[in-house]
Amino acid sequence: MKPRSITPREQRSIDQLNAIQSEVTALHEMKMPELWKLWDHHFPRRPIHPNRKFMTSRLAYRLQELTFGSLPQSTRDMLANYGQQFSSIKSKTPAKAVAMPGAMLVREFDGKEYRVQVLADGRYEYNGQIYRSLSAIAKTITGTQWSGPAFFGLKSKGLYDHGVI
Amino acid sequence: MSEMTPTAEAPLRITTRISLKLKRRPGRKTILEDLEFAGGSTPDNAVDFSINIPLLQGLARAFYWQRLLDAGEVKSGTEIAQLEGLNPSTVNELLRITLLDPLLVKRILEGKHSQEVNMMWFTRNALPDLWQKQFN
Repeated sequence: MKPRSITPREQRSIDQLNAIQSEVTALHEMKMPELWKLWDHHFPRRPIHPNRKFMTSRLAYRLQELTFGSLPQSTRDMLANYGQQFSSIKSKTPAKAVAMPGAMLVREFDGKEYRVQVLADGRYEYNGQIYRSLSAIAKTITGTQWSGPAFFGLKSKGLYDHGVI
Repeated sequence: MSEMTPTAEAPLRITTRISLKLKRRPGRKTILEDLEFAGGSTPDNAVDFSINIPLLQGLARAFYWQRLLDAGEVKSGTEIAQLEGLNPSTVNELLRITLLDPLLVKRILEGKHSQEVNMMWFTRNALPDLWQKQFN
């Protein structure tokens, strides 16, 4: 799907809302073969344990995404990466250290304390400036190339054990 | 502000007063700066500290599970429940949070969601399919 920004609620027109409402109502009236046809049109694979309620709710979500925009993939990734840290399920995607919005990363270096604020979009604020990566901040502080997550102690044991969250 | 009262018996006593307000947020106490006292206001772009951590973690877990499901790494919510040592209904309920209006997800990340959007709500209520009906 092409990434689209999310339409704010007040900008969703009555026509759009009515159209979505009737599409979603139609989902509930569809017979299973029709529902499967629509499913295959929108999703790459079928659920292993199909369930009507699950299918209609996912399809309804998908139809609304097409009309009103979807959550950016980067935000989905950030949330999933963060969730992975709390999970005991191993994934093929290796666990990535992420700090969540609102967290304050504190690092003492060379006798000085440095504070980095994690912003809502996953970027970081340090010293009044916004950075995309922690490594860039670590470089500003130390003058040498560091792994940002390692420098701010996100790597070794995860956020939870460090009391960051 | 410090008051120093040196006397003959007790050499020096320092009292520091900091003007703070305590506010109860779901599940935790938050210390807020007393704005009246400080005479300032919070800038609009500041990350709001009313970020609800249990809700954020719930969202994050659900999105991770959904990624596992989408990638076909696990078969079902029931399998996730087995691997996580959780009740299948807990997992399936939490998975539904991934169907939340993306706009509300964004607001949660910004700490700008309304207080009625919390983990408790999701464990007690079914989320409507229509985004416009979610918390409206």
